[in-house]
Amino acid sequence: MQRFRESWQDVSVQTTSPNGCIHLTNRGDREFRITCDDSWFHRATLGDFTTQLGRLFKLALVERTQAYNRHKEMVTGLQITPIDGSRNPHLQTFVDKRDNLAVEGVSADGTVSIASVGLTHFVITIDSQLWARRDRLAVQRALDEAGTAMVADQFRKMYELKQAGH
Amino acid sequence: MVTPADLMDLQGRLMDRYNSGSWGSGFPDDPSQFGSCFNNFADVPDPSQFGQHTDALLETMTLLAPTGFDTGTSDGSGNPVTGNANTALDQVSTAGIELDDWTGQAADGFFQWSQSWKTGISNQFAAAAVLRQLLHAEAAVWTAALEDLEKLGNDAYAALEAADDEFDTGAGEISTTLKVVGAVVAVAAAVPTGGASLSILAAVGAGVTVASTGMDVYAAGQTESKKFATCCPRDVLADLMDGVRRVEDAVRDAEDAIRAQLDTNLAEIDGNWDEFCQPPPTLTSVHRNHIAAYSGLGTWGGGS
Repeated sequence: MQRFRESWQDVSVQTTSPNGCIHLTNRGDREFRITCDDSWFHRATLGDFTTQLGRLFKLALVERTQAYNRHKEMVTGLQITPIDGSRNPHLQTFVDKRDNLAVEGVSADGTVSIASVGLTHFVITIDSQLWARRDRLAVQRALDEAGTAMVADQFRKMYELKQAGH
Repeated sequence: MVTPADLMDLQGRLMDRYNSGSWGSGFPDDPSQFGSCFNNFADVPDPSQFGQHTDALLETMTLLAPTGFDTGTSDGSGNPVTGNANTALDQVSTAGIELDDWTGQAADGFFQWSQSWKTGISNQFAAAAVLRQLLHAEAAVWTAALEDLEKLGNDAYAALEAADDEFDTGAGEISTTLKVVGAVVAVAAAVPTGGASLSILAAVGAGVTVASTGMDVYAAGQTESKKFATCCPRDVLADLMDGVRRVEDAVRDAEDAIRAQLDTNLAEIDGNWDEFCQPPPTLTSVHRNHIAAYSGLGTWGGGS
């Protein structure tokens, strides 16, 4: 299991938004990096941008979970399947709480925040002044910080949920 | 090959892992079960110990074999276990013919006995083959059971690790398959009488491919899936004990099937005892006083 934990930190999962213009790279448990097509970024409205981000995050969650489980299977030899809450009431409670878990991450300067419920719906807020500057690198950096903070919040709250015995 | 001692060691490691975990709540009602979950299997047979018994029965079969035979089992290297006919058996059948000058009641009795003797030996061969196959089935059951239990223990350990991991979100369950549920093997039908001994080998071979020495191969097709939650020790222990109970039930079912087959075969042998152990030839029951030498035998004193 230790070998899995260490090797997982080197696994990258790359996801692209439905319109092909925003890319997210997750590496292991911590790295969260957004890159955006420069020409599209300058054409997009704020609404288009956040809509594509929200869809990108949903896709990324699915792909990251699949990659995590497959990597675990490969390294440990275990077979991992999606959690089946119907097996007992405890598990169902866990699944219900997990699916309603609210997490949030905010960039260091407070200009970008990402909030999610159950990691299925994402609300991305970008400060209008930051967006007005059309500084792609600044937006990407703020998204990276907010995304990293959100992932950390998700780990912390999921661990609390496990520790609480649901 | 997994031994009962391995399971005792594994449950000790499970208990240690639970004790070293950082659990908020979600404690099992009785966490000590992590350290005692396999106690019911502490004294079960070690599958490797069946080898000496099946080897001894193979030796018996070789002595009783009317023709060459294939046991339908394989050795530790996967090679078929076969045996040659014991040609010495033929000499008994023909001995009565060769005693041309022997006449009388004892001679007739011996001749008749020698003609049917080989049939009885063939039936004994069949009985030995059935017994050997039942031992194989027994070994197969315990091999599969102990392997399943080890797998359950290792998966429970991994599930505890995940539950205690702050970066594992518990979104995936660990799935495994239990083999022992398919261990109710098709072991021997009743032993045939009338010297059809070789036909039994095809019947008893069905469903069992345990190597006669290693006994590490089991090829039952039926399996059952088992899942382990990874979100808290209470659910991990519940899944572990559920798996252990399923193994216990499967072993019980398999033992019932083996015992039923053994009973069937014992009844067949009891009901046809003379077909397996013929009455001795008349000669052996003649009273000592009825056996005498010719009166003139050994009396010649030489020429005068």
